[in-house]
Amino acid sequence: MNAVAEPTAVLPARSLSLTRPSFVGAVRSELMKIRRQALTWVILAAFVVVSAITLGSVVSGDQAGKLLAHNPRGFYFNYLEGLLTLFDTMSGVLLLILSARLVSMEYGSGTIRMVLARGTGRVQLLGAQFAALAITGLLVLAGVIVVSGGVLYGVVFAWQGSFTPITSLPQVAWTDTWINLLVALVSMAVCILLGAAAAVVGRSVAFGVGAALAFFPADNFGTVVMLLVNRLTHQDIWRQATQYLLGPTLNQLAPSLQTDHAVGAAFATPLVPVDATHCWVVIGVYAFLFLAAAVVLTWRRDVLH
Amino acid sequence: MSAAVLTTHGLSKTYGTRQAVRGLDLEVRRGEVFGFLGPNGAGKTTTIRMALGLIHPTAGRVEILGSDVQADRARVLPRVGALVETPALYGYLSGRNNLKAFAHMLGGLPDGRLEAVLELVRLAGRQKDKVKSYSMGMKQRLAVAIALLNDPELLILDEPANGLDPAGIVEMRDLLRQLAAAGKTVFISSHVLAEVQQVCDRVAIINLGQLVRLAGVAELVAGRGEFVLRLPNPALALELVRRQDWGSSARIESGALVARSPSGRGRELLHFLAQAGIWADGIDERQHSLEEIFLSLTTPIGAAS
Repeated sequence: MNAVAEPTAVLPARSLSLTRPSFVGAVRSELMKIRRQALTWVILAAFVVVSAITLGSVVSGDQAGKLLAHNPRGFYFNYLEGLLTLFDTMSGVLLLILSARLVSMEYGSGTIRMVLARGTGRVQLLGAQFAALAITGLLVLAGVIVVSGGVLYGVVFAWQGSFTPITSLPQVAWTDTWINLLVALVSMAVCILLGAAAAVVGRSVAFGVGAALAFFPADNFGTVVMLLVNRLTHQDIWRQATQYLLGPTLNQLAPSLQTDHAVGAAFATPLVPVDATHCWVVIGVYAFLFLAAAVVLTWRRDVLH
Repeated sequence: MSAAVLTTHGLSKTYGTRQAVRGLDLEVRRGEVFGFLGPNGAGKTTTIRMALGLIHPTAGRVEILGSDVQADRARVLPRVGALVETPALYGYLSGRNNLKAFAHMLGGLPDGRLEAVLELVRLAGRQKDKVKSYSMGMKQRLAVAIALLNDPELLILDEPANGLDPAGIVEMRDLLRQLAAAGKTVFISSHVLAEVQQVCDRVAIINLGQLVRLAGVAELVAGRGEFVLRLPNPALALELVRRQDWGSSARIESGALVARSPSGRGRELLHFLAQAGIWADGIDERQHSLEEIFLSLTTPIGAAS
């Protein structure tokens, strides 16, 4: 190779060969992969556009102004519920796609061979991917909090000429805010785990993303199917079974925690009453199953392709 | 420190009922360029994958630099640079960012190191371009750069000439020679037998998952007391030589007489023919090509013709 430099001129000091795989380094690497994907920014841009249109239509109408003037608490809860629905949907789509892509891409493109061959552990890599996705989710959440808070204060000031309607909200409004934040975090964690599990099972981007994205529409629609079957067969088991579907249970989590005022879930909910404890158990079991599937399959299966 | 850099002990891998690798015992010594040869499906890539911890052996073990790969992969594998089959890279990242992604995983490398390996493989000028725009040869070179990132003691290269044009193959050969000159141990699996013959010190040939020959290249290709003589009338010389006790294996190949010598030395053969009035235009000690050796060891009996 005539143009190649002499190896002695470029080969480094012995200290280089003392490098070790690092979890923090793996997280940095995964964050770079997320950041450099055009799809990440396309989804985020769509997130901003849809949010701006939806929130704008919610807060700019005359009805909103009247509600704010006469019932600031009601205005705030409306805003909060709309925001949570919007955030859960958009962050869910974002994290399901990112999670499934990030994990399955390594198998689909074969880069998993290069990564593992340099000593990074399989579970270490999966953990780094979870961490990078969690950081991404938290950054998006932080951005949404900042922007939606700014929009809220701006709208209140525009309608009322002061921030008093917000600053004088009762304590329960802030409690519900924290509950919504908790539900958003749980929803994000479940999406990351679901996306990763689908990717690890299928080991292809198409299967991973497809299965992850189809899951929630399928089990939300499953509630409708089970209701129909219940009506046709008069068997109550079909209605009872809906309390074990993940999507409807996640949709019911915020309403089951917010006892001070009635909250309607935006999407399907179980067809039988369930309390918060039931929701936590069902969500916890699904999360554990997704995590276990991802970890065990990553750990045990050979990398053949 | 042991002279063995890579050792396999009774290494076996079974897929269902098919034994891909059967009780393979190999030893690669420090500083040598070791060729690993076999027909398609012989078990080469499976062996390499086991050496790199990508698949779990059914039996046996692999030791690299004195440590068991399965038990101590995080300590051992960073000291190994590997290229397994086709170069697997992140197409949406630039060449430089591909290197960065792997450098992060290795816990970070000095700033100048990326430039050094990019220079070494002649990609410095294209480092900012996305890898999806690279030719196969460029991808292969970038994969080699990734393998060299942290100055590994052992390089495992699976078909490094795959997809390279003749000029690329020559470049790869020169790079391997430079690495060997710099004291690296190189384990190379290749179908390009002429290249292996030129760069390797020793070769192992496997067939149907079993080791069939392990020897130095010089030993393998050395002639077995045969000489090639260029003569004006080889048929006459052949008839004469075949009448001798030592000449029964004489034959004509490509218009030249191939024959043993009465004493094992070429001048005795020349003297014998000269006494009969046959003067040779030239004589060479006959050497076998690695390809001939390879085919004789791996072609099923009866299929050679």
